[in-house]
Amino acid sequence: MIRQLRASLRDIADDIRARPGRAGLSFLALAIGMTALTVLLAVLGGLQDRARQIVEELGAQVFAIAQAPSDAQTQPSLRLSARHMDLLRAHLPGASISGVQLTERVSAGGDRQVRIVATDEALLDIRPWRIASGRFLDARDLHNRERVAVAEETLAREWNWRVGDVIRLRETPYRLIGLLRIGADALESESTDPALSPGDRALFVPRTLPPYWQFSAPAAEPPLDAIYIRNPRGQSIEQSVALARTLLTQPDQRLERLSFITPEVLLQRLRKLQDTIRFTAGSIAILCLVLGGTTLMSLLVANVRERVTEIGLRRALGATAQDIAGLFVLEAILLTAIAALSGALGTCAVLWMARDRFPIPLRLDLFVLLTPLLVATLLGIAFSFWPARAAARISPAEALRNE
Amino acid sequence: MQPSSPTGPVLSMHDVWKSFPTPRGTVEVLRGVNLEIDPGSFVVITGPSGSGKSTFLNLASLLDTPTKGTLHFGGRLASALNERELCALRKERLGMVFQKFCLLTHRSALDNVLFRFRYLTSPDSDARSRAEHALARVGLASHAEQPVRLMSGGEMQRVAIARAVAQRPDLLVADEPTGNLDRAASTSVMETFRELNADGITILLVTHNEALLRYATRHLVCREGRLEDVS
Repeated sequence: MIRQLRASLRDIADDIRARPGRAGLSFLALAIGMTALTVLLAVLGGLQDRARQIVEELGAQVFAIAQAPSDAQTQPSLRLSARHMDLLRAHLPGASISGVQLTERVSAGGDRQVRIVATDEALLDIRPWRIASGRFLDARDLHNRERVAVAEETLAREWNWRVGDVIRLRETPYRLIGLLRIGADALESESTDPALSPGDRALFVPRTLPPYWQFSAPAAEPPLDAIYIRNPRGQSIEQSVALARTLLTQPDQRLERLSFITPEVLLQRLRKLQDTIRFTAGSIAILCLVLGGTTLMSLLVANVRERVTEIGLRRALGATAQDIAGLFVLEAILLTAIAALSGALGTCAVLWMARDRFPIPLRLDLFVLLTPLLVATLLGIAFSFWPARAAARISPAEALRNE
Repeated sequence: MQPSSPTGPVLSMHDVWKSFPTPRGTVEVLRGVNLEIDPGSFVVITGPSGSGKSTFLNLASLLDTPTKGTLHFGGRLASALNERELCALRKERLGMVFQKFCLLTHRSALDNVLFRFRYLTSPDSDARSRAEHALARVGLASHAEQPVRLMSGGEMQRVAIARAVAQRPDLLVADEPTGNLDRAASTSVMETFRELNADGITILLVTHNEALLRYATRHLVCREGRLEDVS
């Protein structure tokens, strides 16, 4: 078996050496097709990874209700607030609910500015963030209105803050009780809403604290910029969103400019991009592969015609029709596989070197490298089938008469 | 594979007909051929063009099957064999030499002879030693590594003969083996055939050249699809 395979490989190498131009042309056409396919797989795979990352960063079974900032004419009574959280809590039993209020550019001493995220202890149950050291806010902090803060990890590292340090926000001291690792790169790239991704300048404080960091007088009912809800496991997120929408858009709630952010909403743009790329780059890849395949087929047809006498000789030496067909199929598979490996390896190398310059994420893994190989093998079999069958059907007597 | 009987004929044909369909109707190329070729004989077939010599040779080489009649090779009825069994007979018991040599011109003489074992399961070392021996037998041991495209016509034909006999055949079939050679090369090739025959290899040779009849132990003439023994 191995001896036969080795002999077949030698025959194929000899044939390619004898007709380098034609084999080279087929190789080139196939390699271009495989390049297009590799780019398509790398980009689509990258977008798929990004989509999964976004859902992971938002949190499993999580959705948010956000309200766009109010303009000068909007009354504070029309903002989301703690009573809306209570309303949702009453209608969504088993759900974790947390409210968030954001304040931009609060001085933390010198020219250092932070984003204050006033929230509660439930936020960490909902968002998939991790405590790097210390702890997060707890119910007692909120109940006692403790002046405590949890800093985003990179911010703390940059300003050399440690758990237990006392930091100042507009001259009011706060005790740093924990460092939080957020890591929401994918979410930040898809949504500019700071309620979703507070960024790396975030400082978390109890929502019940009076806003010492503000110059203006606090509202009677402090407004919220977003409410996060984590659905109980096994309950449809669509149903919960629909219920929340019904509750909050009742006329008596007088809430305006609400947006219901679900994983589906976040992935909409990404999905459109995926569909566009799949259609455009996919069409190009298919065209290139068909072109490569037909070039390969014409190479094999011409080979069969030129090698009729050789086919006759092989039959005279005892080759079966199956041996003859196998030789042409193997040649096609080898040529396509080498073209696929070269195309995919070359493309992966170029994409890897240029990955930082790409506006979209790329996936460069074994799947992206090996799929073209599999496609090439199938392509080789499909496009060599007819020429191989024609070669196998040549009568040995007729072939030798061709001598 | 069942060995051929040392006493029985290598090839026997009884009332063999071969016809081909054409747009103008069926053409009968062979019409009731009867023949037995005994082991060790040197049979030469002559005849005018279109008399059916090549068709007869294709049947004798098991490259084609008769339309009617029976053909036995080494005691086995060819029409009862399937494609795989016919291929096995061709690769193990038949040697063929062609007018235009049918060599792989970009390969060396030794590689061309080794090609005889391409579809056999002989170990590499055994195949190589037999190929080298075959080349030595036709006087080309010193040309083993030479690409055949650089050889003369006579040398190329001797490489083709070495290929045909590297796996000792029960029957060596040669179709116009000197058709493309000059007088000296023809003589050299025919001497090689004579030596092989002297070693016990049965030879069936088709030619236009009546000068080659002196090598034959038996002479058949093909006329209008029939064979006449004129020995």
